[in-house]
Amino acid sequence: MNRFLPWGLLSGVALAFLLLFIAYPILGVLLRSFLGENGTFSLEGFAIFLTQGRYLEAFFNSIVLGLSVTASCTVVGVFLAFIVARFEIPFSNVVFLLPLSVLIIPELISAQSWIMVFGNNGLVTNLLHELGLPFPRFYGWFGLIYVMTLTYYVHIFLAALAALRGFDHSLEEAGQSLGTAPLRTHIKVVLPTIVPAVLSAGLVVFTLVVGNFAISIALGQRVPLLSVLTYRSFISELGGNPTMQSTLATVSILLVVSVLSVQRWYISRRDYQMVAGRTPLRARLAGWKARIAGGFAGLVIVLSLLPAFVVLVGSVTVSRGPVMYWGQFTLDNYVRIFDFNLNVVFNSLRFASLATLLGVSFATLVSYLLVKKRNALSSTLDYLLLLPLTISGTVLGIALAQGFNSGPLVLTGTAAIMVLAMMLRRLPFGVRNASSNLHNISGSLEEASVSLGVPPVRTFFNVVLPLMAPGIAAAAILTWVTTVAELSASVVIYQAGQETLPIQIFRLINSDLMARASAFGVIDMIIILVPVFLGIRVMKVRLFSS
Amino acid sequence: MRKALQHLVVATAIALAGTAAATAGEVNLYTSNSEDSVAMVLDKVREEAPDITINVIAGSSGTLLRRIEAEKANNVADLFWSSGFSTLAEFSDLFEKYDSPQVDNLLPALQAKDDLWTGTNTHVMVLMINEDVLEGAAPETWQDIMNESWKGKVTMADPANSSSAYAQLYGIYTLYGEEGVRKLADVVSLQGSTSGAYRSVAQGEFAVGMTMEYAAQRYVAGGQNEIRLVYPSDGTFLSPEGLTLIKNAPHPDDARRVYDLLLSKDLQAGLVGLTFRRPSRADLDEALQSSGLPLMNDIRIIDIDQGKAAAERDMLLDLWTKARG
Repeated sequence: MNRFLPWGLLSGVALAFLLLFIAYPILGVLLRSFLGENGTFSLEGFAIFLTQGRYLEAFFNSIVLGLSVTASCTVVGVFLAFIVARFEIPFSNVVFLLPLSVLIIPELISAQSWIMVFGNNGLVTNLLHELGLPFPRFYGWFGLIYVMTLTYYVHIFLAALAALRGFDHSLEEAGQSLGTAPLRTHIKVVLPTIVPAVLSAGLVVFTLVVGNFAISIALGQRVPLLSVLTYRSFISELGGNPTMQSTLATVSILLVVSVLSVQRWYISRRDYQMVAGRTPLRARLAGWKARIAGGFAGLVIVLSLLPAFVVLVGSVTVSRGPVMYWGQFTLDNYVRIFDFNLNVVFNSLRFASLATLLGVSFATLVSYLLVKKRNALSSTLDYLLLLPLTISGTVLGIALAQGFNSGPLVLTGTAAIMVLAMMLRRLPFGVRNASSNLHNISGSLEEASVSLGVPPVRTFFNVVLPLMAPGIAAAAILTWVTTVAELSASVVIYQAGQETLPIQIFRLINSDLMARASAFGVIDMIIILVPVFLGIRVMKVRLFSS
Repeated sequence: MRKALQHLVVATAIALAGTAAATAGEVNLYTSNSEDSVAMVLDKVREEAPDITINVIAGSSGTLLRRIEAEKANNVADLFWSSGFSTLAEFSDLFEKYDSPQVDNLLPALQAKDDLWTGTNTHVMVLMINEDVLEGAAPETWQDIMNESWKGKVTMADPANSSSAYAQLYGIYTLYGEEGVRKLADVVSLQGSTSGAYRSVAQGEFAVGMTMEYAAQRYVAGGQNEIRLVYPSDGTFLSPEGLTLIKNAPHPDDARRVYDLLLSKDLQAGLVGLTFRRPSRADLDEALQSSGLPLMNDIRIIDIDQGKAAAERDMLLDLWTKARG
């Protein structure tokens, strides 16, 4: 009967799409890493990886960086969540803007602005230099950990906050009435309950750091890192070695996959069930404690938002070539964009709107199929949707470029492959957003409609889709935001004439033209901000519910 | 969603407008040069050849050349401006020879009379010095920086990734042989990309960097007073860049007119003031002086055979990797 027809067919189509554009390219990368120069089986790539110092060093550097940033994010995120959840501080409402700040300020711009502040030619560095104080070298470990912490702590902050809010206060009271001092109670009772949430957020941070490209390449000049080497192997001025590209990509895939399996195993082992308890009251703090707690929270907020301000000032600052004249203002950087580079702005808008449109439609359909119309194909779909999470943008770009540069379907160099890369990176999150309300929609509504004679597909449009709307809107906004800021995949596959805003910013930073890069950065942030603002203010979309 | 659709409509309209059918008096210029240089060219063309409209496709030279290769069957590009001679040699089956009447006004090293391209400008390899972090006397020669005492104070880009860094390495190899390459490998710190070398010196991470003349001169001209250029007295190396006509160009006659304009005196003089890239013409002393660059006669140049440099690349990089340990 037609129970199977529309949905089974659509499941098949979705499956074919994912197999072609995710499974096939990734499989290709994995296979090519075992092919030598002449196309026969060889382990040469891995031999070079293990014997040439640089590669192994980069591998371990990436792991060390991942662990360090995860640790520092945990400290900052948990501490901030604790303050916000437990105490009334003067500007606690601003704290809820923090996750947004991370969305609105692309990491590339964040790295760029911190270079303008702390780099060897930076504002603060020069100021201290005038006063005769040395400032630690920002490029390398210090800068990497600092900027990445400010970029990624929000993940842990949100997870810890959710856990603390769901925490039953009576447990803590019980602890205290049994005679443990408040601080020890916190450590013995409260901490274990938020550990699972924080740990799984921590693993997400780890994978993000290992795959990070923009900050790594801007600040990691002296520290060899896996993601940067992978990129350079592909974009060498003198032609790279395909075996080595695939090998490096394979290594980073394996690294992330192993981390993700640890996470799954851990979550399956521990499960704290909270009986819906009373959320603790937020205590009023007074005196020095209030100042410390408020000061810390305030500092994190300022540091999170500062990059946007620095880039804004940088974009209206006079510069002669690479030299900036802080304190002298001009609109030249914007005039130049208007004269020469409007196409870059349109490229960004075009690719991002197409990727959002495609990505959200696909995510809506797939989430409906997975939640409401389970069939034989569903579990395969589930697994395929996890694949994009296991690869960094750079690896995805390389996989697509290598997978579609010959054969029946040639996409390399077309705009389609840019849109595809942007869309695929966000797909798992899009599906998660779109299905957020689906579990609450009762199947009987649909059945009622169908039994009244409305065909299943029209029922979907008339009944289910309106109920899914909030999730879809959140998915659309988040997809838009991340595609407008996308660099790591698109910078590998773009062709001349397809430069997007982040690619242009990246190229200008590379030529050390910070003022001009800043003007593009401001435009990028405005394009990101407008839909976010409309979504939150006008449509009341909840971006961080899931 | 409606917003996205509107963007889509606008963007599509713009995309369609851009691909309007080519008419007479058009030239499609594929260029890796900065957009202010391109703007100067457009102004010049508007002045000298008002009947020609130029459509610019900008990008890095690698992506542009690959795109021209991809479009070979249905060629769109008329001119490609510009990339290093050795890079052009790799794509030479895409180009067509054109003997511009301007060639006789160029420096002999840039005339490239037997090749499919013509030199438009040349990089000169220099030592970029940051006086703020320099301790003691500045190096005067390539040999100076091979001394152990410079360890950790000198930087260059990775010759495996950067064509200009390879030109520097090949120059050192020409002057001082394998021994020189080993000594340099012991002392120098590597940067991942070409720009890493001059950026790290400008930002005071290193006292000395091996880089290209124009890149260092931008900081001097911008007013960063602690930066200075040293042209090593044991001789330095050129890395010339060229312009070429594309085979089966859709507008060959107009493209040749623009080709001549790109080599013309006025334009080259204007470009050197803008970009500090040393022009290929031999009659631009005034323009060079006003942009702060020394005259060609005052620099000691070591002759490098670009073809040989390309042929020995694998051997030399292998030697380099081993020397780096």
